[in-house]
Amino acid sequence: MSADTSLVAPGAEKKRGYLALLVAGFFTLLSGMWVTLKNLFRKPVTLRYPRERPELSTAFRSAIDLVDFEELGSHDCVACMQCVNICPSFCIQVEGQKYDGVKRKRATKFLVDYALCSVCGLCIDVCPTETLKYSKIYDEVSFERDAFVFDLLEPFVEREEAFLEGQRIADAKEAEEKKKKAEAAKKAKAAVAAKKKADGGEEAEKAEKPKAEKPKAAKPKAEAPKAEAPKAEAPRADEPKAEAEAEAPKAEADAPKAEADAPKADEPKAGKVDKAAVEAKPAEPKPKAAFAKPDSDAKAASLARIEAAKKRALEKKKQAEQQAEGEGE
Amino acid sequence: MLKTLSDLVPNVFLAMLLAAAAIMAFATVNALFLVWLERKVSARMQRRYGPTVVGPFGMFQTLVDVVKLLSKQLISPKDIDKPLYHLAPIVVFVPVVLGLSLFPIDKSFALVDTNVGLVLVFAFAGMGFIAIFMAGWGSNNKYALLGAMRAVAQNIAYEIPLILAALAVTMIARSMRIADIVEAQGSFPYILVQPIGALIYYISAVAETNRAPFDIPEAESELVAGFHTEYSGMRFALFFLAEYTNMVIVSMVATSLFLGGYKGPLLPGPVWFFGKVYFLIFVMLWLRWTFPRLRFDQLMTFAWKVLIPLALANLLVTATVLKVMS
Amino acid sequence: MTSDLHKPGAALAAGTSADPWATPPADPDGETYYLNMGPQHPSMHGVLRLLLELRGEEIVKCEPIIGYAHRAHEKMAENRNYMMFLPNTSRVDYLSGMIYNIAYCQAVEKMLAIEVPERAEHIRVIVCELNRVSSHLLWFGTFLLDLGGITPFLYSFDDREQILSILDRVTGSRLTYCYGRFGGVTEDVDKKFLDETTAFLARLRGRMAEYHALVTDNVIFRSRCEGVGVIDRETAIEYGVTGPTLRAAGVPYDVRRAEPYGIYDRFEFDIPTASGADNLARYYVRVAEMEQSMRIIEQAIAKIPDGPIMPEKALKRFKPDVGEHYFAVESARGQFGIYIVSDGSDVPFRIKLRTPSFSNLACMPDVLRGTMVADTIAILGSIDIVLPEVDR
Repeated sequence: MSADTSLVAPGAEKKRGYLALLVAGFFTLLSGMWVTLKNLFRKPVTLRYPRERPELSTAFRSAIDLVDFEELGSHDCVACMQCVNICPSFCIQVEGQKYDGVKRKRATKFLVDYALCSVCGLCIDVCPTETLKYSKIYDEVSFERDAFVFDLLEPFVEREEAFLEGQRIADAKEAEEKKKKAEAAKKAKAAVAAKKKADGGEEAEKAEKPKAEKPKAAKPKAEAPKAEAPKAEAPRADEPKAEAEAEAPKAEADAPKAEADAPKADEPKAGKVDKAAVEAKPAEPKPKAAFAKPDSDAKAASLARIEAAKKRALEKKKQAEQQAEGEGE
Repeated sequence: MLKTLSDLVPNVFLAMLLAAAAIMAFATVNALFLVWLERKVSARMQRRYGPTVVGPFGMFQTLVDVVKLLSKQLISPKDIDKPLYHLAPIVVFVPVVLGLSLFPIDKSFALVDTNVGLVLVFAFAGMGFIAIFMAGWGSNNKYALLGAMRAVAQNIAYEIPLILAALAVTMIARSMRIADIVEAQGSFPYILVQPIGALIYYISAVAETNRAPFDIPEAESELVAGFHTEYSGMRFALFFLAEYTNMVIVSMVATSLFLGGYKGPLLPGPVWFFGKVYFLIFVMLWLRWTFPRLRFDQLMTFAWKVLIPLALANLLVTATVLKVMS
Repeated sequence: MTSDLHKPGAALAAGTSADPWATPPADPDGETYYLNMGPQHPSMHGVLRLLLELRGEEIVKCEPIIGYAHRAHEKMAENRNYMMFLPNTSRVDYLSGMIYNIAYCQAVEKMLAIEVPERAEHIRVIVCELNRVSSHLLWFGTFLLDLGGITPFLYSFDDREQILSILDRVTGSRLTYCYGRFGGVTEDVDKKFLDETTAFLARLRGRMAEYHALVTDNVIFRSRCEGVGVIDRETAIEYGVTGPTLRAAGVPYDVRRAEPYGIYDRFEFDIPTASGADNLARYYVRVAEMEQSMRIIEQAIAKIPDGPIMPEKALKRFKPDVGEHYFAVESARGQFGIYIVSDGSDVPFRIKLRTPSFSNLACMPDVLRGTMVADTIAILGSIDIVLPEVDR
């Protein structure tokens, strides 16, 4: 033990007589009383909560909220559904819509049930546009459960029209620029090709140049200031860019899903959780390719056991069903 | 000369009525104050604020609590022993109120003055345990029963050193009248003559009032709330009131026997008397908020193997010295 | 009524009532009686029910009845992908939530063979050891509370609050952390965090002297602990008891040393053991362990390198190969093991959590026999069980 603690291993002290023990014991009581007496005159350390409020840490986690980007004048939720899919508590509901003239999808509904949320932060990690953040709510109280269903789009509703208008203009501009750039790139390519024809030796060097330029050119305008903002993690900073490139086809791919989601959202909440569970399930059907080539014996053994367990579970279920049917009759 | 209430008020019945009113008022106000004090002291020892909201320094918090307790429903559990269960809160309260009347708070005044005052005090204190046993037995609850059994065993064990320690003092003072004992402590209090006796008395007194570290009859972490587990509302409040009044009584005895009662320089008698009493009570609170609880068998071992032999030895030495000196 | 209560369910089977949860009927001889301690009892740790058969105040038989806090965490794991199980882990044992959370991450990393950046490894060690100290501090307080001493409880909570605030600054939570991610941690620590941690260690060392004066040396405390609740070496090993409870029986087994995980093999620390195997020995081991944790934290703070806190390529969705993996860590209560069976999909086929409290609680009938009612709660407190962890 280090010197600054007086902890003695039990049994280490000497055996003493009856009276000596009594007196020694009495003095240990006095030393304890001295500690409490000292503390009696010290300042209390508690926070008188409703009158004083704690200073929340910067990392403090509470219900999620949408980031209000200054350069966009609004949030940047594209209703990609990634947060909905990753949420372990199934507490997020998102719907999106595509507007004419605007390239990206736009969230039309974003509900979070804070009563279910476990503030794990997975949705924030997974958000491709980084438009989710933690809010600083910490003492919300209510007699009703619904009071904790927060509509995150509420502060943005008034600004939505203006944002869409701005976005249309920006997108149009961007599309034009893209076109121009693409043409320029084509021209450059053609020039390179022409040069290549002329001078075969420098082929490799030249071919690389336009390639390096390309991703930059494809970057959407609205995205630019955000991408340049300092990011904590290097790998993440790349994602929005990559996303932006893949945006158009992806948004389209998401669209039918969103439509499929739409009727669900109207159902009562209990139904929603069930649905979410069902949604999570399709992952279960096993990719057969993975099973086709067991690498080792251990793997095969594992697999066999798993299959057996699954079979048993299935049989049990069947039995139970049969029994239930039998009883029903 | 010491005056009692019956000297001042000619009508006996009127005097009784006045005495009862005065004692009830004192017991109630005292309990309110002590509960507040306990909460405040414990809070500050634990570096908390304690009650701060109602009244200055939260002093009226306990008053509000009493109002709450008064307005609460009295719940009686199933299959209780009805007479015992309902009588217990009253029985626990009566003797402690009686005990309060016996102490001279000044050179010239005591509510009642009898020549066996000390015996009466201990007799009344002993009665409280009957009530605790009634409560534990009548509640139809195993925790309550365990608490009551412990309380009785503890009472028997600690009454002995308590009285043995007091006996040494009466031998020196040659009287059982409390006023005489106080007067006999001329220029110095008996704690200087009887340091071990005083310590034994005080420890036994803490045990006698079921205060921590001897609070095994109501040991919260083991027996939920011990003998008063099944009491709610004002019935519970009466147990509470009795506990705090008991603290005052044992402290008053200690003050009268060992600390020279109302005697002291400069300040008037009652101030000295109550000052000493509340200091002793503060030490009781201090003990409670410092120590863990003894186990039941350790408590008994401590009484029978430590306190009683010591008290007997103390008594023997005192008697020998007195005999030699006379 | 002479059946051996040590067989699980024997006491319940003895009851003739159709209700399996009913208390068995009273002993016809009138020699003994039953006492239900818990699940509603002011100082029962969580919702545990101890069915005690008593003779006077002496315990003749004892049967712990568990299951009141069962939340099906293991089943939940089978219905969501690996990532989505993360927040569950810290809720299994809410007092060492960080250790559990990180342990799950480490288990998955082991399964997928992911490299964790150096800085993240150091951060993990610091936060886990802080969590261990906070858990031991809470145990210190509640153990004293079980013995009837209320003030030490509040002192230790004051210190524990400091740890929670320090952890709150990086993790954003105070109790149920979800700080670990597969391959690293969510937030980087700053210099302020390290400074605060160092300051806290100095403060806690100063406070320890006060604790020793108030508690360790106290004669009442000693008499309540010495020789009480002996879980000897053989019993402990037989029941699979781990953690401080095992070390108090003289077995120097600590997963951090026996099978080092993370970067624990790089730190110098002792494994405190005691020979008494009683409440006092367990007290001693835990208090000494706090000091060792502080040593580890100091070394980690001194060594922490700069760099990323997540691997280059963060995992998003993944499908581990078919296989079975077991990974164990030393939680504040003992060996916490995670057994993952993967069937090749992104959803675990089975996750089994080996929680120390469950095994530690299992030896209770043996230990409690012949002790007093007053010691029941003290012994239970000394082995430091967390009921949600027992039931999962």
